[in-house]
Amino acid sequence: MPEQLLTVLKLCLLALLYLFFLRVLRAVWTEVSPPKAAGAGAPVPAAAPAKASRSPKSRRSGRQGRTRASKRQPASPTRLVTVEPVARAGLEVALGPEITVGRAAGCSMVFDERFVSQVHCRIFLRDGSVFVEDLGSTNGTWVNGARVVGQMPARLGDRVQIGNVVLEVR
Amino acid sequence: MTATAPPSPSARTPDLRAIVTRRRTTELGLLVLVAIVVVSAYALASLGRNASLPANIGPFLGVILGLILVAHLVVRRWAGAADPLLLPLVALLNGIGFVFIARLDEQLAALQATWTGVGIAAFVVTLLVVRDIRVLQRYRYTFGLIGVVLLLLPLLPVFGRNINGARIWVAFGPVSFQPGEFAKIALAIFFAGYLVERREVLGVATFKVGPINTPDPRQFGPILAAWAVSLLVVIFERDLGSALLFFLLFVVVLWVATGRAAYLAAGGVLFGLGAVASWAFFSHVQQRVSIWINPWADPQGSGYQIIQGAYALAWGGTTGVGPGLGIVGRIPFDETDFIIAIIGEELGLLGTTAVLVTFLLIAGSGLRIARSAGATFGTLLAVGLTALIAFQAFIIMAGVTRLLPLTGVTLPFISYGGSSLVANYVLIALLLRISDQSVRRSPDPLAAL
Repeated sequence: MPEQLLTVLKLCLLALLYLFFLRVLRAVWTEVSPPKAAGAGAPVPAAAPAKASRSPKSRRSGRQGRTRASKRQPASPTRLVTVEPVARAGLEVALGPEITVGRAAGCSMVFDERFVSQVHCRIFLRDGSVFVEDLGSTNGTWVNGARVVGQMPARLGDRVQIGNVVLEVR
Repeated sequence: MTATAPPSPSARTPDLRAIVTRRRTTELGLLVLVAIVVVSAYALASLGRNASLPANIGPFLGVILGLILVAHLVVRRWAGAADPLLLPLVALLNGIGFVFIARLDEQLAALQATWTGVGIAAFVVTLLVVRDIRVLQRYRYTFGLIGVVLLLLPLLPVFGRNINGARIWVAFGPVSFQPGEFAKIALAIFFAGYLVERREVLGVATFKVGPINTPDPRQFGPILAAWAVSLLVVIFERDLGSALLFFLLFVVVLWVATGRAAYLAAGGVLFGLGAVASWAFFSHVQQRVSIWINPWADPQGSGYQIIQGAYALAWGGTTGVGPGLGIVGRIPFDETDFIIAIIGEELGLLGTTAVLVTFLLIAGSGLRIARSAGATFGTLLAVGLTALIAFQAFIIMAGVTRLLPLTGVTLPFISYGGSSLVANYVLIALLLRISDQSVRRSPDPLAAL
């Protein structure tokens, strides 16, 4: 076999190797770049939060009206009541300086649910106000349908959603 | 689920199905390209003058490629949404490794093909058995114990074997293996499982030692114990590369779990102290360091291997002398520790860079899997497993190129070695399982990619 031919073949092999890397990088690029308008997937992530935020809000406005009507005076929040899942509905925890919610056994409120992360969020009382903070959960924490970013205040009657778990501040 | 933020399961099924199809098609396409690369590398190596490649090794290559196709089909059926890059990247490393082993020693090639078979079988079994990664979390202490026992096995009088100065082998009859390769996975599971439930506590400084606030030291107890045992054992087995690997695994997982860079700094200080201490106390460490600093002090003796490795790399130049055209048998352990030097000789800087890029891409995929797994056990495990593979590749390549003192660990998937190959296939199967699970469980699979 002539030497020159072997050298050419060797260079072809190296080129092929780097062609493979180009294909790999292209595969990553198509995954991480947002899908184009043609893709059916595009509207889904955008629409999902909008859809989701509408339904809890409308539910809440009706609910809050009722709470106000029955109680009249705005009391300060004292406890967290489980609304969903239905199997655990009514379960209460007194609000304190630190309540952790999650799937891990060490949390103050343990929910072994599909969309709940190990240590999902914390809910704490500071100067008489309730704050919710997401602890890097997979599916996020939502207060009245709005995604929690940083520490978000929650008021009486507000609903905190953790995956498919809904807690109400009372 | 009335007040759900995540879309309902029925809404996300089409998304998921599209993802599965797209990812597996990508994987298959890349695997075909890998097969072309590996087969042409093999053909080219057999054309090379100096190679001793009998025709009967060819079928083994076919078997390896067939097995990788089986792995692809298993992933398609049982982990369809998993990352599409890992398997092709691993297949490339395994294939290229096989070509170079075959080119060096045809008997080892046959054995390596067998080990690939065992490795793929272990890969399939892992994917089938571990259907939910959280099951591993439940058995974290068991895995911690298994890890320590596996590390202790070579120290046993009857089964332990001292090969090439390191007591890291266990022999049962004709079969001998390195339990440490499997111990690293067990310990990664233990670290991840333990830290995911303690990270809150470990992230907050509540305990005061003088002016410094640290987390409650009791929380560190079990993990420090496991770490100390593994380090001690590995040092007594004279396996410094693995000791370094365990230490890096420990520090990285702790850092990711707590998000506190202070652990990295503390780890660096501890590493410095440990390195100086082991240099002061162990003669074999001193020997390694003096070879590293000046291999020319004894070019025909202790420095021989690393000098020949450097010659091979230099001889290769930018594009190498060509597969099958290098000098066979000049470097001791060229099929395990020094295989990167052979690749450097025959494919040059571009070839070694390709290997490096492949490991980088594996590390990138692993970290992407960790990121998409949310803040869970899966994240920490993915980070730990990725760290294991990336650091192991780094330690041995840095050793060969004299960036670090040489410590004998295998180059994952490329070096000859059964235990390493099988353990790394299990590791990749776990990463794919985490990836598949996090996409499937996500309320919005497209965002979880």
